Amino acid sequence: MMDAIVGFAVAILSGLGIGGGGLLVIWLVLFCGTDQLAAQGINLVWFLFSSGAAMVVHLIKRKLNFKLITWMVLCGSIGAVLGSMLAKSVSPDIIRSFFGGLLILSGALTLFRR
Amino acid sequence: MKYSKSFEFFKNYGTGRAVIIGIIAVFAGVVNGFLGTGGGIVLMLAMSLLPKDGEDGVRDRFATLIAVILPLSLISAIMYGDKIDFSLTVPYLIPGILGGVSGALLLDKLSVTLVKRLFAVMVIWAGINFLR
Repeated sequence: MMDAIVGFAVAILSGLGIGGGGLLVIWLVLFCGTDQLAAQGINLVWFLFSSGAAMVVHLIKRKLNFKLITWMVLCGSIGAVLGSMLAKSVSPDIIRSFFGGLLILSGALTLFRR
Repeated sequence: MKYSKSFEFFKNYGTGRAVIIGIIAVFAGVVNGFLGTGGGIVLMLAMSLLPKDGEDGVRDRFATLIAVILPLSLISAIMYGDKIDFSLTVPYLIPGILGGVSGALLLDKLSVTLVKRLFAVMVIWAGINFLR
């Protein structure tokens, strides 16, 4: 039951653009004791569903910049392949530290921007 | 300089800026693949380089950003392959879909500043826990 509540609440935050994916990893790793890489994998799949569903709403209500999307996806795909390979080849402790760093950085950015 | 139709993007944004945006997008992909999240934050940086035309609203930008992260996450999920235990993802999927739609609809109605601040403090706390 708690899983469902967390999944729902995090998806709302994610849909609002407050920040999403990281929260599910936090929940899985700190509260459920899931391995770092396994938690990240679960998060990726969860994100495909939650943001995929949110995307349907956005497609109807908002104006997307498709040229920008195409360019960013083309470049980002290269990075996505590299980043995933990297994640599978380095120690989970290193990933964990980077993940912690990302959280602190993104929290600070959210607090101090504007 | 003349541009073919497929390179119109470069004409609109200026080649230099387009290249920088591309490099940031590569980095966003790396972060998203390496940490399973976080590509969005990096892409925000790239978006901030774009001219802020009136019609290009914040919410439209946000939707554009998600449209980029979705395929990148799909690629990473495929690359993770056997590292993903799909049975563990099941409890989160339906709530994820419902929450995602709710959030996207609420985006027009809520002022998110306070929620954002609370969220930021919580995330920093969690980050410190990950470093321990």
